[in-house]
Amino acid sequence: MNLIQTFPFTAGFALAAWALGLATLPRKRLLGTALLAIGTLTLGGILATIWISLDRPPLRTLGETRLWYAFLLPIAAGVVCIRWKMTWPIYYAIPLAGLFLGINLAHPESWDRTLMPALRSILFVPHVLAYLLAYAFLSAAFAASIRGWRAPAGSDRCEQALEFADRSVQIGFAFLTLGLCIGAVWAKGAWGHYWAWDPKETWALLTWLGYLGYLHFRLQHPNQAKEAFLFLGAAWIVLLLCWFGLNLMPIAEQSVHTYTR
Amino acid sequence: MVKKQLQEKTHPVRSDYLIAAAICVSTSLFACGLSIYQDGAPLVAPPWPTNAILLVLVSAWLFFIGLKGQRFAPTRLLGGLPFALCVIAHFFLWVLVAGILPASDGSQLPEIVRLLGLSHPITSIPFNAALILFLLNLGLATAGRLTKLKKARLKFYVSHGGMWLLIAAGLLSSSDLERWELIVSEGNATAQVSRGDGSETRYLPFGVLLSDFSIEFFTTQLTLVDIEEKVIIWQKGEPLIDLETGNTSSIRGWEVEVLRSFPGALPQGDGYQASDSPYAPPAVKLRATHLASGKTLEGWTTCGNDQVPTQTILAEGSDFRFAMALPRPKRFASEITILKSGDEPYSVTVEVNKPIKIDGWELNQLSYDETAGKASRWSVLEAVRDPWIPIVYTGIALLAFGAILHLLDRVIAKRGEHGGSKK
Ligand code: HEM
Repeated sequence: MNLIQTFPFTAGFALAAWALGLATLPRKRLLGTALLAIGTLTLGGILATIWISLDRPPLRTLGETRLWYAFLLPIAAGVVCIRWKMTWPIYYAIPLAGLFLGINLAHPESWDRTLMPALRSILFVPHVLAYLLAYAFLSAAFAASIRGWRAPAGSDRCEQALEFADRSVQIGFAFLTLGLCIGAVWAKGAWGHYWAWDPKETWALLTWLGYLGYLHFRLQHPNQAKEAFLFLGAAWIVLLLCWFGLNLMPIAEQSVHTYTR
Repeated sequence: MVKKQLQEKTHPVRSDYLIAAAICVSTSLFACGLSIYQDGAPLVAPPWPTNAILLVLVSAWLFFIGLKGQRFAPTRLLGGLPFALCVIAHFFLWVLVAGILPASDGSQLPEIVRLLGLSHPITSIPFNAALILFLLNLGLATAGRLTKLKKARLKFYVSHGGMWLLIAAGLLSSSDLERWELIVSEGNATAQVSRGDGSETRYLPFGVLLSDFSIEFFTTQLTLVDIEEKVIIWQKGEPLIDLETGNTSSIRGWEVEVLRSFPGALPQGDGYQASDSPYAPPAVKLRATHLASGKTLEGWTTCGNDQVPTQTILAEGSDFRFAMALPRPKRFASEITILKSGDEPYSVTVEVNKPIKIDGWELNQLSYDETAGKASRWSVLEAVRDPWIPIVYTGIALLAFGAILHLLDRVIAKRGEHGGSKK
């Protein structure tokens, strides 16, 4: 239990490493990258500590999912940057991850050990991880849409951002679909039916439909970059509503999935 | 060739959108009208075997259209991308309605909402009409590629075909899905099941004898209640203190130490005595020290149950009492024996997330006597029968496989390549 109490310090350390890393990256590539990696690995260490101390996967509360997200977003962006040789996504991913980590610092967790029986399934971790990876890639796409929106239409910058956004959405959407499928199979075992139109499920479907729309929009309109960026912004709002907003809606009381207690 | 494509891209696309939007809007209007005319009645899928025949007929029709119908502009339009965008948006809006309206019996909702069937949006006529349009486009898009079979298109078939199968089977099978509650008490057997609301009962083809119901709890946790013991005032973000012997922690200016902790205890004198009885609630002895004033107090707290009253400890000088939160279940399971005429009785354990299958039925652990907790003498199981599961699961597997193919394709693709896109 006690290791968990160090969270504000370790998280603060990760934030500092990220901030320093971003500042050094343009001039000293290697050092900057190392600092960013240290910050991200620290978060991984925090997650492992929590997992071990609580004796359950820390994927239950909203705050816990934010922590994973802050860990996975830099990794997702890093993978894309290395795979397709760019650097700018990091400048969006790290601040966004930092923001989520900051929210956690501002709203301390209670570190609850308990895990309801329905969540005790081998599908729990793959299901939530698939969703968080999806959220990470789809947020990367959102970041790209902001960059693209600010760039003049038709410019290289705009085109690059669009390409990056497309790629991230395709990866993110695949994870979203996997999360949905795993969730359905899990629900069958835990609640007797694969799809119950629970509010959280309904909103997950809305998110999925939003990005499905985006993918097909891009197929039909390969040259309408600005509209594509707008589309991504709208889809991201649906995603956020599904992830966080649902707890604020009256309908949430009927959901078995809201992460509050 | 290029010029022709370009023309096709710019000109008819706008009219495609107009026609597609008109189809969506008129479908919705017609469905709303029909729903009002039907007094808000739900749309029910035909029962077995009609639904299966319908699925086969629709598939055959799609297949035929896929092979022969591509010359006709209407099939190209209905299976095309502009229509896809419209039906996705159209369906999105109806799902949004379902995602915003709280489910209810409709009594607090305006009359028009009830008439549109939206007190149960998912079975309402307008919602399902939107879903059927969605299916139509998806089916035609999949079928329309049949004449252009290519390996590169595998992921297209797998994701679109899987999705179509999943939705079509899920929609048509709803009439064959049976969900019943089975309530059985320890030492007794029953084959009777009922609807959750008790409106209907029936008998399963086998009996269920409950040999043992067992439940495990997490270590109980400390909570704070107001002086009148009416509301929990513990706030999210405050520490959750496990009530384990030896634990110390601080909360709201007090240091709390757990002196003794019994998983089960009965009151004795002014303290508690450990007990194995299933009717014994957990109880702990605490020492709390006010850090500022140094004041120390000691006392027992228990969450209580039907037999033993709740006890809390007043934090003198503060506006709350220390209390024990209700224990949270970690695992509960029913050990049951299946009784079937002509078969040897056999024992199995049903647990949350570990359903068992017998004769096309699936038994899930649902609930128990929550007020009795550990002492619960009965268990609530759910008996589910869904003969369409293999088909639905095939759809899910195809969809997931398609997602993996898209993922691999995306990660392998080089920069500048637009895998699968028409650019
Ligand atoms: C399950 C997730 C889905 C994925 C990953 C997906 C992806 C794709 C891709 C990559 C294409 C382009 C295929 C190519 O050019 O080779 C495509 C085409 C298309 N999709 Fe989807 N799609 C999905 C679901 C849907 C749904 C639900 C609908 C309809 C409601 C739909 C309707 C269409 C249509 C109409 C086309 C164009 C077909 C044509 O031009 O012949 N798709 N989709």
